[in-house]
Amino acid sequence: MGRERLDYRPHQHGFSLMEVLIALVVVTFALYGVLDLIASNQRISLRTQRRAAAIGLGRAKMAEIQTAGFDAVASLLDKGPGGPSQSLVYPSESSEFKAPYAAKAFRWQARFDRNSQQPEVIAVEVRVLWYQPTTGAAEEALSNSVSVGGLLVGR
Amino acid sequence: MRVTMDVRATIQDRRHRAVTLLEVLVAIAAAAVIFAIAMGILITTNQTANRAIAHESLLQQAELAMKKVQSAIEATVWPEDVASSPPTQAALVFTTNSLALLSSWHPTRAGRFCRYEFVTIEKVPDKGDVRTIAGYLCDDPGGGPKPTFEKLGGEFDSAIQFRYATQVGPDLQPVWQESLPTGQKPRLIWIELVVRDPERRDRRGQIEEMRLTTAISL
Repeated sequence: MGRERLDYRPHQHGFSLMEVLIALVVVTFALYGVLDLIASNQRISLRTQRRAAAIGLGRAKMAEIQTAGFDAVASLLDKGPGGPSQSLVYPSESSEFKAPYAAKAFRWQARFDRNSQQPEVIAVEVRVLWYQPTTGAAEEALSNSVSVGGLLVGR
Repeated sequence: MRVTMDVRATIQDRRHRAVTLLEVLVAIAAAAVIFAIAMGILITTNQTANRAIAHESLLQQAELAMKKVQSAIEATVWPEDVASSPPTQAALVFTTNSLALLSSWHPTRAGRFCRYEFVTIEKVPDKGDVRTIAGYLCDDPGGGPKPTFEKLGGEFDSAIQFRYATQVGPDLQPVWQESLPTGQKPRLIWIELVVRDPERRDRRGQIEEMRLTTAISL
Protein backbone atom coordinates (compact mmCIF):
# COMPACT_ATOMS: atom_id res chain seq x y z
CA MET A 1 0.00 0.00 0.00
CA GLY A 2 1.71 3.15 -1.19
CA ARG A 3 1.49 6.57 0.47
CA GLU A 4 -1.62 8.42 -0.73
CA ARG A 5 -1.35 12.06 -1.65
CA LEU A 6 -3.58 14.33 0.40
CA ASP A 7 -4.75 17.18 -1.80
CA TYR A 8 -7.81 18.95 -0.48
CA ARG A 9 -7.15 22.42 -1.88
CA PRO A 10 -10.11 22.35 -4.30
CA HIS A 11 -12.41 21.93 -1.33
CA GLN A 12 -11.02 24.95 0.59
CA HIS A 13 -13.49 27.61 1.63
CA GLY A 14 -12.90 31.39 1.23
CA PHE A 15 -11.11 33.46 -1.41
CA SER A 16 -7.50 33.61 -2.37
CA LEU A 17 -5.58 36.88 -2.09
CA MET A 18 -5.55 37.17 -5.89
CA GLU A 19 -9.32 36.80 -6.09
CA VAL A 20 -9.81 39.49 -3.45
CA LEU A 21 -7.41 41.85 -5.24
CA ILE A 22 -9.14 41.34 -8.60
CA ALA A 23 -12.54 41.96 -6.95
CA LEU A 24 -11.18 45.15 -5.35
CA VAL A 25 -9.86 46.40 -8.69
CA VAL A 26 -13.22 45.71 -10.37
CA VAL A 27 -15.14 47.48 -7.57
CA THR A 28 -12.71 50.43 -7.66
CA PHE A 29 -13.19 50.86 -11.41
CA ALA A 30 -16.97 50.66 -11.01
CA LEU A 31 -16.90 53.27 -8.20
CA TYR A 32 -14.59 55.50 -10.22
CA GLY A 33 -17.02 55.26 -13.14
CA VAL A 34 -19.97 56.28 -10.97
CA LEU A 35 -18.06 59.15 -9.31
CA ASP A 36 -16.84 60.34 -12.70
CA LEU A 37 -20.44 60.32 -13.91
CA ILE A 38 -21.47 62.52 -10.96
CA ALA A 39 -18.55 64.90 -11.50
CA SER A 40 -19.34 65.05 -15.22
CA ASN A 41 -22.95 65.97 -14.42
CA GLN A 42 -21.74 68.83 -12.21
CA ARG A 43 -19.31 70.05 -14.87
CA ILE A 44 -22.05 70.14 -17.51
CA SER A 45 -24.38 72.04 -15.17
CA LEU A 46 -21.67 74.58 -14.36
CA ARG A 47 -20.71 74.93 -18.03
CA THR A 48 -24.33 75.67 -18.95
CA GLN A 49 -24.45 78.41 -16.32
CA ARG A 50 -21.17 79.91 -17.47
CA ARG A 51 -22.24 79.82 -21.09
CA ALA A 52 -25.49 81.66 -20.30
CA ALA A 53 -23.56 84.28 -18.33
CA ALA A 54 -20.97 84.59 -21.13
CA ILE A 55 -23.66 85.16 -23.77
CA GLY A 56 -25.11 88.00 -21.67
CA LEU A 57 -21.66 89.53 -21.24
CA GLY A 58 -20.92 89.19 -24.97
CA ARG A 59 -24.14 90.97 -25.85
CA ALA A 60 -23.30 93.64 -23.28
CA LYS A 61 -19.87 94.25 -24.81
CA MET A 62 -21.40 94.33 -28.29
CA ALA A 63 -23.91 96.93 -27.08
CA GLU A 64 -21.03 99.00 -25.66
CA ILE A 65 -19.16 98.84 -28.97
CA GLN A 66 -22.30 99.77 -30.90
CA THR A 67 -22.79 102.72 -28.57
CA ALA A 68 -19.18 103.78 -29.10
CA GLY A 69 -20.09 103.78 -32.78
CA PHE A 70 -18.51 103.29 -36.17
CA ASP A 71 -16.15 106.26 -35.89
CA ALA A 72 -14.57 105.07 -32.63
CA VAL A 73 -13.88 101.61 -34.06
CA ALA A 74 -12.67 103.04 -37.39
CA SER A 75 -10.28 105.22 -35.42
CA LEU A 76 -8.90 102.14 -33.63
CA LEU A 77 -8.41 100.44 -37.01
CA ASP A 78 -6.60 103.50 -38.37
CA LYS A 79 -4.35 103.76 -35.30
CA GLY A 80 -3.51 100.03 -35.24
CA PRO A 81 -0.05 98.95 -34.02
CA GLY A 82 1.20 98.52 -37.60
CA GLY A 83 -0.60 101.56 -39.00
CA PRO A 84 -4.03 101.57 -40.63
CA SER A 85 -5.33 98.09 -41.17
CA GLN A 86 -8.38 96.26 -42.39
CA SER A 87 -8.53 94.04 -39.38
CA LEU A 88 -7.73 94.39 -35.68
CA VAL A 89 -7.96 92.27 -32.56
CA TYR A 90 -8.71 94.57 -29.65
CA PRO A 91 -7.40 94.55 -27.01
CA SER A 92 -4.35 92.55 -28.05
CA GLU A 93 -4.57 90.53 -24.81
CA SER A 94 -8.03 89.50 -23.63
CA SER A 95 -9.30 91.98 -21.06
CA GLU A 96 -11.31 91.52 -17.89
CA PHE A 97 -14.76 93.00 -17.45
CA LYS A 98 -14.39 96.13 -15.35
CA ALA A 99 -16.88 97.37 -12.73
CA PRO A 100 -19.85 97.33 -12.48
CA TYR A 101 -19.50 93.86 -13.98
CA ALA A 102 -18.88 91.25 -11.30
CA ALA A 103 -17.47 88.70 -13.72
CA LYS A 104 -13.93 87.89 -12.63
CA ALA A 105 -13.96 84.50 -14.32
CA PHE A 106 -14.62 86.04 -17.73
CA ARG A 107 -12.48 87.95 -20.21
CA TRP A 108 -13.29 89.51 -23.54
CA GLN A 109 -11.63 90.34 -26.84
CA ALA A 110 -13.10 91.86 -29.99
CA ARG A 111 -12.12 91.45 -33.62
CA PHE A 112 -12.90 94.21 -36.11
CA ASP A 113 -12.85 93.57 -39.86
CA ARG A 114 -13.37 96.38 -42.33
CA ASN A 115 -14.90 95.30 -45.59
CA SER A 116 -12.49 96.36 -48.34
CA GLN A 117 -15.32 96.70 -50.85
CA GLN A 118 -17.63 98.43 -48.39
CA PRO A 119 -15.40 100.55 -46.12
CA GLU A 120 -18.44 101.97 -44.35
CA VAL A 121 -19.16 98.54 -42.86
CA ILE A 122 -17.15 97.01 -40.02
CA ALA A 123 -17.84 93.48 -38.88
CA VAL A 124 -17.47 92.99 -35.13
CA GLU A 125 -16.98 89.75 -33.31
CA VAL A 126 -16.87 89.82 -29.52
CA ARG A 127 -15.41 86.73 -27.94
CA VAL A 128 -15.98 86.02 -24.26
CA LEU A 129 -13.59 83.54 -22.70
CA TRP A 130 -13.78 81.98 -19.31
CA TYR A 131 -11.72 79.84 -17.05
CA GLN A 132 -12.73 76.34 -16.20
CA PRO A 133 -13.66 76.74 -12.53
CA THR A 134 -12.48 73.28 -11.57
CA THR A 135 -8.92 73.74 -12.81
CA GLY A 136 -8.42 77.47 -13.24
CA ALA A 137 -5.93 76.67 -15.98
CA ALA A 138 -5.45 79.35 -18.61
CA GLU A 139 -5.25 76.76 -21.38
CA GLU A 140 -8.79 75.71 -20.56
CA ALA A 141 -10.05 79.23 -21.20
CA LEU A 142 -9.51 78.93 -24.92
CA SER A 143 -11.80 75.95 -25.11
CA ASN A 144 -14.50 77.81 -23.19
CA SER A 145 -15.68 80.72 -25.23
CA VAL A 146 -18.70 82.16 -26.96
CA SER A 147 -18.78 84.68 -29.78
CA VAL A 148 -21.32 87.38 -30.46
CA GLY A 149 -21.31 89.02 -33.86
CA GLY A 150 -22.57 92.33 -35.21
CA LEU A 151 -22.05 95.07 -37.78
CA LEU A 152 -21.18 98.73 -37.49
CA VAL A 153 -22.28 100.92 -40.35
CA GLY A 154 -20.80 104.36 -40.96
CA ARG A 155 -22.85 107.25 -42.25
CA MET B 1 -6.06 5.00 4.34
CA ARG B 2 -7.04 5.99 7.85
CA VAL B 3 -5.57 9.48 7.44
CA THR B 4 -7.51 10.01 4.20
CA MET B 5 -10.76 9.03 5.83
CA ASP B 6 -10.14 11.45 8.73
CA VAL B 7 -9.48 14.37 6.41
CA ARG B 8 -12.58 13.66 4.34
CA ALA B 9 -14.65 13.44 7.51
CA THR B 10 -13.30 16.81 8.70
CA ILE B 11 -14.14 18.50 5.41
CA GLN B 12 -17.58 16.95 5.53
CA ASP B 13 -18.02 18.29 9.07
CA ARG B 14 -16.99 21.80 8.08
CA ARG B 15 -19.49 21.78 5.23
CA HIS B 16 -22.44 20.85 7.37
CA ARG B 17 -21.70 22.56 10.63
CA ALA B 18 -23.78 25.58 11.75
CA VAL B 19 -22.36 29.05 11.22
CA THR B 20 -20.87 30.78 14.22
CA LEU B 21 -22.15 34.05 15.64
CA LEU B 22 -18.95 35.77 14.51
CA GLU B 23 -19.50 34.65 10.93
CA VAL B 24 -23.06 35.96 11.02
CA LEU B 25 -21.88 39.29 12.41
CA VAL B 26 -19.15 39.57 9.79
CA ALA B 27 -21.65 38.77 7.03
CA ILE B 28 -24.11 41.38 8.38
CA ALA B 29 -21.32 43.96 8.64
CA ALA B 30 -20.17 43.23 5.07
CA ALA B 31 -23.74 43.49 3.78
CA ALA B 32 -24.23 46.75 5.70
CA VAL B 33 -21.05 48.23 4.21
CA ILE B 34 -22.04 47.24 0.66
CA PHE B 35 -25.57 48.58 1.22
CA ALA B 36 -24.19 51.84 2.65
CA ILE B 37 -21.88 52.31 -0.35
CA ALA B 38 -24.73 51.60 -2.79
CA MET B 39 -27.06 53.99 -0.95
CA GLY B 40 -24.33 56.62 -0.77
CA ILE B 41 -23.86 56.44 -4.54
CA LEU B 42 -27.61 56.53 -5.09
CA ILE B 43 -28.13 59.51 -2.77
CA THR B 44 -25.19 61.44 -4.25
CA THR B 45 -26.40 60.79 -7.79
CA ASN B 46 -29.88 61.88 -6.82
CA GLN B 47 -28.60 65.04 -5.11
CA THR B 48 -26.45 65.89 -8.11
CA ALA B 49 -29.38 65.40 -10.47
CA ASN B 50 -31.62 67.53 -8.23
CA ARG B 51 -29.00 70.26 -8.07
CA ALA B 52 -28.62 70.24 -11.85
CA ILE B 53 -32.39 70.47 -12.32
CA ALA B 54 -32.62 73.29 -9.75
CA HIS B 55 -29.79 75.15 -11.52
CA GLU B 56 -31.48 74.70 -14.87
CA SER B 57 -34.75 75.94 -13.43
CA LEU B 58 -33.06 79.05 -11.99
CA LEU B 59 -31.22 79.65 -15.25
CA GLN B 60 -34.38 79.40 -17.33
CA GLN B 61 -36.24 81.75 -14.98
CA ALA B 62 -33.37 84.25 -15.06
CA GLU B 63 -33.14 84.12 -18.88
CA LEU B 64 -36.89 84.53 -19.23
CA ALA B 65 -36.89 87.49 -16.86
CA MET B 66 -33.91 89.08 -18.63
CA LYS B 67 -35.68 88.71 -22.00
CA LYS B 68 -38.73 90.54 -20.62
CA VAL B 69 -36.56 93.39 -19.36
CA GLN B 70 -34.61 93.52 -22.62
CA SER B 71 -37.77 93.54 -24.73
CA ALA B 72 -39.15 96.50 -22.79
CA ILE B 73 -35.91 98.49 -22.82
CA GLU B 74 -35.08 97.82 -26.48
CA ALA B 75 -38.49 99.24 -27.47
CA THR B 76 -37.92 102.47 -25.53
CA VAL B 77 -39.58 105.58 -26.89
CA TRP B 78 -39.02 109.05 -25.50
CA PRO B 79 -42.10 110.88 -24.21
CA GLU B 80 -41.46 113.97 -26.36
CA ASP B 81 -41.59 111.76 -29.45
CA VAL B 82 -45.02 110.47 -28.52
CA ALA B 83 -47.65 113.15 -29.08
CA SER B 84 -50.45 111.23 -27.35
CA SER B 85 -48.50 110.47 -24.18
CA PRO B 86 -49.03 112.88 -21.25
CA PRO B 87 -45.50 113.78 -20.02
CA THR B 88 -46.50 113.77 -16.34
CA GLN B 89 -47.52 110.12 -16.52
CA ALA B 90 -44.44 109.20 -18.49
CA ALA B 91 -41.88 110.47 -15.97
CA LEU B 92 -38.59 108.69 -16.51
CA VAL B 93 -36.48 107.36 -13.64
CA PHE B 94 -32.87 106.23 -14.01
CA THR B 95 -31.45 105.11 -10.67
CA THR B 96 -29.60 102.05 -9.42
CA ASN B 97 -32.64 100.33 -7.97
CA SER B 98 -35.34 101.70 -10.19
CA LEU B 99 -35.82 102.20 -13.89
CA ALA B 100 -38.93 103.77 -15.38
CA LEU B 101 -39.29 104.33 -19.08
CA LEU B 102 -41.86 104.42 -21.83
CA SER B 103 -41.85 101.45 -24.16
CA SER B 104 -43.73 100.42 -27.24
CA TRP B 105 -43.51 96.80 -26.12
CA HIS B 106 -46.76 95.88 -24.42
CA PRO B 107 -47.16 92.38 -23.04
CA THR B 108 -50.88 92.08 -23.67
CA ARG B 109 -52.00 94.95 -25.85
CA ALA B 110 -49.87 95.35 -28.93
CA GLY B 111 -49.80 98.81 -30.38
CA ARG B 112 -50.17 100.50 -26.96
CA PHE B 113 -47.41 102.21 -25.03
CA CYS B 114 -46.51 101.09 -21.56
CA ARG B 115 -44.64 102.94 -18.84
CA TYR B 116 -42.47 100.28 -17.28
CA GLU B 117 -41.20 100.69 -13.78
CA PHE B 118 -38.66 98.05 -12.79
CA VAL B 119 -37.95 97.88 -9.07
CA THR B 120 -36.74 95.54 -6.37
CA ILE B 121 -38.88 95.39 -3.26
CA GLU B 122 -37.98 93.85 0.08
CA LYS B 123 -40.14 91.14 1.54
CA VAL B 124 -40.91 91.16 5.26
CA PRO B 125 -37.96 89.30 6.74
CA ASP B 126 -38.79 85.91 8.13
CA LYS B 127 -36.26 83.86 10.08
CA GLY B 128 -33.80 86.72 9.84
CA ASP B 129 -33.24 86.52 6.07
CA VAL B 130 -33.96 89.62 4.01
CA ARG B 131 -35.69 88.48 0.85
CA THR B 132 -36.16 90.57 -2.26
CA ILE B 133 -38.46 90.45 -5.26
CA ALA B 134 -37.69 92.17 -8.54
CA GLY B 135 -40.58 93.01 -10.77
CA TYR B 136 -42.27 95.62 -12.86
CA LEU B 137 -45.42 97.65 -13.21
CA CYS B 138 -46.78 98.23 -16.68
CA ASP B 139 -48.79 101.42 -16.58
CA ASP B 140 -50.68 102.38 -19.72
CA PRO B 141 -50.32 106.18 -20.01
CA GLY B 142 -53.51 106.32 -22.04
CA GLY B 143 -55.60 104.83 -19.23
CA GLY B 144 -56.55 101.20 -18.80
CA PRO B 145 -56.65 98.99 -15.72
CA LYS B 146 -54.55 99.69 -12.66
CA PRO B 147 -51.19 97.96 -13.12
CA THR B 148 -50.33 94.95 -11.05
CA PHE B 149 -46.85 94.10 -9.86
CA GLU B 150 -45.40 91.37 -12.07
CA LYS B 151 -42.63 89.31 -10.51
CA LEU B 152 -39.58 88.71 -12.68
CA GLY B 153 -38.29 85.72 -10.74
CA GLY B 154 -41.52 83.73 -10.61
CA GLU B 155 -41.62 81.79 -7.36
CA PHE B 156 -37.95 82.54 -6.68
CA ASP B 157 -36.45 85.55 -4.93
CA SER B 158 -34.87 88.06 -7.27
CA ALA B 159 -33.14 91.42 -7.46
CA ILE B 160 -32.41 93.81 -10.31
CA GLN B 161 -29.91 96.67 -10.59
CA PHE B 162 -29.14 99.20 -13.26
CA ARG B 163 -26.28 101.45 -14.31
CA TYR B 164 -26.31 104.04 -17.07
CA ALA B 165 -23.80 105.46 -19.51
CA THR B 166 -24.21 108.50 -21.68
CA GLN B 167 -20.84 108.11 -23.40
CA VAL B 168 -18.25 105.48 -24.23
CA GLY B 169 -14.54 106.29 -24.08
CA PRO B 170 -12.10 105.82 -26.97
CA ASP B 171 -10.95 102.59 -25.33
CA LEU B 172 -14.54 101.31 -25.78
CA GLN B 173 -15.13 101.46 -22.00
CA PRO B 174 -18.41 103.17 -21.01
CA VAL B 175 -18.47 105.71 -18.22
CA TRP B 176 -21.04 104.17 -15.91
CA GLN B 177 -23.22 106.22 -13.58
CA GLU B 178 -25.50 105.04 -10.80
CA SER B 179 -28.21 107.53 -11.68
CA LEU B 180 -28.94 110.21 -14.22
CA PRO B 181 -30.25 113.71 -13.51
CA THR B 182 -33.73 114.57 -14.74
CA GLY B 183 -33.81 115.19 -18.45
CA GLN B 184 -30.66 113.25 -19.27
CA LYS B 185 -31.07 110.17 -21.42
CA PRO B 186 -28.84 107.11 -21.24
CA ARG B 187 -27.22 105.66 -24.33
CA LEU B 188 -26.44 102.41 -22.58
CA ILE B 189 -28.26 100.63 -19.79
CA TRP B 190 -26.44 97.97 -17.78
CA ILE B 191 -28.64 95.36 -16.12
CA GLU B 192 -27.81 92.83 -13.45
CA LEU B 193 -30.50 90.32 -12.59
CA VAL B 194 -30.13 87.83 -9.76
CA VAL B 195 -32.56 84.98 -9.20
CA ARG B 196 -32.24 83.05 -5.93
CA ASP B 197 -33.77 79.89 -4.58
CA PRO B 198 -33.80 80.42 -0.79
CA GLU B 199 -34.81 76.82 -0.20
CA ARG B 200 -31.66 75.44 -1.72
CA ARG B 201 -28.10 75.84 -0.51
CA ASP B 202 -24.93 75.02 -2.37
CA ARG B 203 -22.09 72.96 -0.94
CA ARG B 204 -20.65 76.04 0.76
CA GLY B 205 -23.96 76.64 2.50
CA GLN B 206 -24.82 79.69 0.42
CA ILE B 207 -28.20 80.23 -1.22
CA GLU B 208 -28.31 78.96 -4.80
CA GLU B 209 -28.44 81.89 -7.19
CA MET B 210 -28.16 82.71 -10.87
CA ARG B 211 -26.64 86.04 -11.82
CA LEU B 212 -27.04 87.37 -15.37
CA THR B 213 -25.56 90.61 -16.59
CA THR B 214 -25.99 92.44 -19.85
CA ALA B 215 -26.10 95.92 -21.36
CA ILE B 216 -28.49 97.38 -23.91
CA SER B 217 -27.73 100.14 -26.35
CA LEU B 218 -30.51 102.66 -26.88
